[in-house]
Amino acid sequence: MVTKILLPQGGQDLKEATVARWLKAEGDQVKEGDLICEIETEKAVFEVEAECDGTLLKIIVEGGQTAPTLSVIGYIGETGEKIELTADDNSQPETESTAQSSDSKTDSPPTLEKLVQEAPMISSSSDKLKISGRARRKATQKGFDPSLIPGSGPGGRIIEKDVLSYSGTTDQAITPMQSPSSISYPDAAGKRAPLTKMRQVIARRLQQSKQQLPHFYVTVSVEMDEALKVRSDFNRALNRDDNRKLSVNDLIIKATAHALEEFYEVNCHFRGDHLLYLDDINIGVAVSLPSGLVVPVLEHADQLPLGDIVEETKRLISLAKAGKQASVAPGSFTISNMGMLEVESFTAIINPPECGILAVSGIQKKVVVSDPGDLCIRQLMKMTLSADHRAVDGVLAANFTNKIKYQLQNPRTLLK
Amino acid sequence: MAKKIIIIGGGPGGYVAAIRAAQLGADVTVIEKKDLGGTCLNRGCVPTKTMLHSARCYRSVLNSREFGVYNTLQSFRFDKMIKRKDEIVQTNVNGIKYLFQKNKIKSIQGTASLIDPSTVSVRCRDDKTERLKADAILLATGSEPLTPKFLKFDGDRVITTTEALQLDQVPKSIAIVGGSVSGCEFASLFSQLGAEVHIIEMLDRIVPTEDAEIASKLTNALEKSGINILTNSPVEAVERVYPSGDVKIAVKGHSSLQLGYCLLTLGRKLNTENIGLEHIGIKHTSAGIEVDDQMRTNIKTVYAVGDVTGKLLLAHVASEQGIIAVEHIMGKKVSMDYQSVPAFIYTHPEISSVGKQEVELKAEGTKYLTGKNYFKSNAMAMGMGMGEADGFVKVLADAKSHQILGIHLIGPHATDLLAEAVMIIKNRMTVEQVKDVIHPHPTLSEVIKEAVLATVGEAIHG
Repeated sequence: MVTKILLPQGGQDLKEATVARWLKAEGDQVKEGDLICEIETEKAVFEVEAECDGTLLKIIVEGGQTAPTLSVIGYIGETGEKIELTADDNSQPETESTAQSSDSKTDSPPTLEKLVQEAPMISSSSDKLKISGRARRKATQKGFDPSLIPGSGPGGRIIEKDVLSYSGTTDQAITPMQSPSSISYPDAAGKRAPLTKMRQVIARRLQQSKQQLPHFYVTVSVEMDEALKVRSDFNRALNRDDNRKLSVNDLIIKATAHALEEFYEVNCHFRGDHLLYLDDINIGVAVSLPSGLVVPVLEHADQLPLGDIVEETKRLISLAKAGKQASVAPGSFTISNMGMLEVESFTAIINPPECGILAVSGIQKKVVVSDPGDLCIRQLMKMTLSADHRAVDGVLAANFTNKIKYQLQNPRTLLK
Repeated sequence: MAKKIIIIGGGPGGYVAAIRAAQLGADVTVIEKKDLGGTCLNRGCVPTKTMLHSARCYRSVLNSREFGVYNTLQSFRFDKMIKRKDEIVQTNVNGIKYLFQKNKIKSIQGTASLIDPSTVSVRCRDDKTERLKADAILLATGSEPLTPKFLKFDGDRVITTTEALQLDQVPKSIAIVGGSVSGCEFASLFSQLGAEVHIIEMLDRIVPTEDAEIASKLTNALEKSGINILTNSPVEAVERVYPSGDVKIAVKGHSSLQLGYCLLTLGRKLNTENIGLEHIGIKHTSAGIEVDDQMRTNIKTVYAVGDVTGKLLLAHVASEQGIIAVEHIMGKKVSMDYQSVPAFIYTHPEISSVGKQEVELKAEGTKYLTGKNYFKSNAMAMGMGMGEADGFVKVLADAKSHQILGIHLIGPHATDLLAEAVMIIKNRMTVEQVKDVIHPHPTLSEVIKEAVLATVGEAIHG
């Protein structure tokens, strides 16, 4: 019996994903549980396991290609078995096999140029966008946001011709990454490191965000003395070997969740032609790995009591560190905390289609002027909100950030 | 076999009914979702009065020089006041538990809903569900503070009386939205403890349920103590301001206020939901469960008492209704009388009343006599200090029969003094009958007698 290999659903809002690379070749024997390929989504790279023993009969979606989630990307069966393609399988985007195969003939390691070309640009509105695979690659190559290109194909589908004509008539184009061939780098000694798939995703997404989203920043200083007291009281109440210790980050997650509840306009996705105020408050927590950055998502953070936030965050972070994708929900906001690195202040890049990210710095003792005008020593922490100014106005950003500050300075509000 | 009674709600309606029913030999089970004692004991009258007493002590210390007492320490600790209040509440709750044990009353912590006219389903704290059968079911589910959506209650700085009793410090400034009984009590409390207090009332006066003259006297007293009272002033919007956490309140006809807290005292929402009323067809509206004078609903085996009946939202009314209900269940001939229900406000000065008001008598067309006597002419009141002796007693009597129809007090210990007035109204006493009663001297109670005498122009110290 032939078993289909389906492109997994990487997240609720994801309609497509990219096969990063195949770990097995056609004709290879696979055992149930073997890793057969890597899938790259907007959020992460994760692995697909074989669901049964057999032979990898055919690869339908090659490495680097994008396909709708839950579509067939390959088949496993007995050697020599015949595969009957179903209508289902044909619903994949054009694969343009000639171009692909000519590429794959070159056995040399992938060049940056090729990787960039292969890495499809998934715009925030891509879930609705009708575009051919060839057109998408062309648009990526030229640095266009595909959602801006008028389509002339059936049902308004964007075809290659549209991309070519678009390039001639507009100056709206943004170049996300200059083609390496157009830049001449001076000779320099050093070790050449090809970009890993993860690094490519990071590079593409961050560059896209920083270039396309009008970031603006709001920084506040928070007196953390009370919050630190709450934390140590909380932890003192635990058994010595209980590892559910409350961290400052947990308090910040809780405060942020409350703030997103009150200022729901920040809990929003900017989706090209509309804003989507999200029902759920799902907070992404940036986690650093040796290979790069991942952002596991804490779902329904507003509904979790502090103790549950502690446990759930711990679980997500350890899964992320083990290289597993633990959450599938789309994030609505992200927190990036460099507090443990004794950073005085930094700003973060928004993770689109989200509209904000909070950069949390370290706590440092500072002399401050108190209310009655005395000098005193307080534990200060700087936080900077990066907001997408298309969706979030200045006053809103200030109120939102100050609400987080208020709660951290009045931490009893977090214990409820 | 003993009659089985299930009581849903362990507040002053439910727990008093339970004890009375047990005294009459019933097998009683009380189901309470939070704490025995209900709102009154845990989140209402008792803790409020305890806090007000702490405030009164502080006031006495501040004013002690008038009495020749000199002290150097003029401070208070709010956290200690709150702690003392919690201890007193706990002692009272334990008292009810003891009374339940003594009377062999079973109590279950959980939420209950009606399955049929003789069955209740109880969801306990551990999420287990059990079904109980009884010969009669008494609903005493009470009420909760009303928090209209546009006023953005958040339990942090936009609060109800429940949170106001758990604050960790006295607010620097507070707006009290709603100038009725509990609004004025909390205004009085926080003002005595040094807060900047604003009462915002939609109607043309505060304490609209009280006699107009008393209300105006209270307005003066509260304003004199520094409270800002806005009447005819509906609140249009409430929003939080960060990072201060302050509350910005837009009031129609005034510039907006920015204060530390906003306390909502706008009345109460009756707990008629999720108890299965619709399920078994018990007649009710948002104004309460319909009951007759024996506290029976339209379904014979189901009774209702207290706030949930929407009659008079007072603990002592609930208790009385509870006693009437279980006595009726146990076969006694009883009937609820709302004519002589006492009402109190524990402001400084205190207010209390029983019987009719002037507006009611005018509306009825009853000809009546008015007698008034001031505390400042009473030796005992004078001894208590001039700040305390402000106030008066007002008596309304039928012009023909001289039957006393209403007694209204504002002044020192007005709440404690009312018991005599209730006796007078309940027993339909006349001016002449009260005239005949010797009142001890020197006591504050003399003011009541003088006010009664004043209706016929015979007050001695008038």
